[in-house]
Amino acid sequence: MNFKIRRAAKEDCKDISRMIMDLAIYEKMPDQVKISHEELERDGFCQNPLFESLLSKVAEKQCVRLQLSVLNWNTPSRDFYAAKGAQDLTVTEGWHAIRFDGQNLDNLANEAPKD
Amino acid sequence: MEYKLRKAEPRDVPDILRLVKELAKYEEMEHQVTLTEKELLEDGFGDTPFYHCIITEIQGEKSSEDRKVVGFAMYYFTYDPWVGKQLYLEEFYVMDEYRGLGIGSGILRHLSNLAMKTRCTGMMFVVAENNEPSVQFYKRRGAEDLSQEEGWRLFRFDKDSLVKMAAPSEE
Repeated sequence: MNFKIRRAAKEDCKDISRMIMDLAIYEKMPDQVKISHEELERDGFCQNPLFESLLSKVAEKQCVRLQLSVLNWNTPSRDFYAAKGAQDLTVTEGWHAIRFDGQNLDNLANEAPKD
Repeated sequence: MEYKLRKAEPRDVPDILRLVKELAKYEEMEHQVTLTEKELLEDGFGDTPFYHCIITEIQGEKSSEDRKVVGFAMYYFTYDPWVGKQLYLEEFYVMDEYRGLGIGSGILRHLSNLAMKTRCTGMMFVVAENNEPSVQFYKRRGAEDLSQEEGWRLFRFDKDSLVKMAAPSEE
């Protein structure tokens, strides 16, 4: 089978959005997807894009590491990355991913200063 | 004590690297810091900044004393394809002698405000699970531990693995 890897264009956002949802369903968290292809178009293909879509960027920008998150039960993906040389830092170094969002982020922004 | 929170400037690079190393030492991983001042300068203050930095400085007790940089936060913007813009807090550290004075809270408050202003839906970062004081500091303020609650694990490919993956296949 022939396939081609190329940089995403604005027109690809509908497909990208569909695949994001497919991946979220696989990760058992479809209700967490809140943005649509319109936001992807706006945020990825405007004057100052917030994301780019190719692995080659890593080598081009002289990055020394590629970091990502994987769900603990997602054995096929964990094995895929491990086979290519990735380390699970949660296991080897004890890192946990933390997030502030919604009301908690609001509260943090409005916290009274301790004087 | 008066302290001032401001955007880092190129002249702050030596202090930023000093604090990066102090934080790495606190995390018992200082041997992993190979970054140089030159790289920090190019990467943060060149045409395309790869990070943003805010620092906290205090005025020495005597007016003749120099200002001292006692805390910093390094952050950048990332993108979550489910909800959009996120503020990623990469480094956050206050020197031991200056903790408990509200400097850390002040930095977090400033960053949260910035996140709101730039329409980020969340602020994300990693914490080492054995870092009890930090874990409690964040939990008290309503942070979610996504590794615990949703099962996310942090993976990394180092330079050698990247080189192997980027090489063209033999087929």
